[in-house]
Amino acid sequence: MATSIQPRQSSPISRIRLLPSLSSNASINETGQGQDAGAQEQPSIQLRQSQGISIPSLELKRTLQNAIAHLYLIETWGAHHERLGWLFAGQTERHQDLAIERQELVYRLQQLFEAEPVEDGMTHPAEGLIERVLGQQRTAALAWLDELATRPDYEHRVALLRCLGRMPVMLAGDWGLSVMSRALRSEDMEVRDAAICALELWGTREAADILRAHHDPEPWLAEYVAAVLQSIA
Amino acid sequence: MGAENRVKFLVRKVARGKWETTPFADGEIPADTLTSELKTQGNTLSFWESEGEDDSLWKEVALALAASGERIDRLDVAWLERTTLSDNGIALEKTPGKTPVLDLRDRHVDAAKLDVMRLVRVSHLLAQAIRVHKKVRRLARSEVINLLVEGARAGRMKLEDLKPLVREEVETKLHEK
Repeated sequence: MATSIQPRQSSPISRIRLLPSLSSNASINETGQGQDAGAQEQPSIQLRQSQGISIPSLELKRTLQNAIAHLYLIETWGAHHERLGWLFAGQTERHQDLAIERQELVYRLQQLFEAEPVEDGMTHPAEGLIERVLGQQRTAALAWLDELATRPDYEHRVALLRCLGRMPVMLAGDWGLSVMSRALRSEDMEVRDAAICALELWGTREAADILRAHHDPEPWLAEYVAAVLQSIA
Repeated sequence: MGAENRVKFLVRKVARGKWETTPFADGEIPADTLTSELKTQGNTLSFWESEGEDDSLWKEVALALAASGERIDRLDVAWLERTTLSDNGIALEKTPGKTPVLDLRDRHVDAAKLDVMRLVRVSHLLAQAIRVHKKVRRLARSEVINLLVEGARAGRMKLEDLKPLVREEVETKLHEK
């Protein structure tokens, strides 16, 4: 079976102009011509690029993998090897599955956190998702969650920490304490707040030890830590 | 001061960290704070009316809020004078509060008929109340539990009206003491 995949000569994407990032001094006028910021006042609303994840692309990837595996398209793969290589490059089947599952977790978390904020006194659907993933493959999921929870640029970091803090203390274990210890060192007060909240919920001696060693620079958070320590004691 | 002359406050549940965080210039309110903290329903925002300057100002509202929750967490409440909102063109309407605490249900007030501009005004007033006047209080989780247990012991709510996770914990504490 011969199959050819024609490269698109002119993808619409290639014609999209990149807008200036936050750090750029350039701006773009209505005709698309670049201008120096010094010549005109900086626009008050700034645009920056960010990474998007879409589930259809993951499904497409899985479909393509299945198609290649089952229909022996691999015979015709040579010519397009460079463009399709990303499907399999250097990965075993298990690693491919894990990579996809990680992306799906990231995507689902993003969906859930964008749909509703994590609110005091209210349960959040992401809590169930996290527990399910940890139940299915704890080792891999801990690594994924650890990476997200400690990444300063992860936009849902606070929400994720809040949900991790709601895990039963037995499920969170030493790993949970380690994540929250690191979060306490963050410059972001919301991140530290989420960590203190988690340690308050767990309420163990180890949690109290971590809080006792933490001296928060924000007075109202320091008061909160004191109140929590009093209640744990 | 007669009861009719006492200053009335409007108290609202907040997430203090979201209001205290200022990644921009002083006084600016992050858009995320507006979209997550001031989520309107039917163009209204929920407040609870309270009186007095002592702890009872926020304690009663904290009880109403905690009792209506699905779980027990620490709780932040912020307040401003009722006239601060009404003087700024915000319509206030009494509506029944959704809380298991029966005697607090008539304390609920909606900031109503909110358009975008009025919502932004509310956000500025709340930000000022929290950041400048420190009219905000965080209750640790243990304090929230104590409030609920006291409320239950005083018969102010039926345990069966509490959500399962809340009820379970309150019942446990009631049996402990």
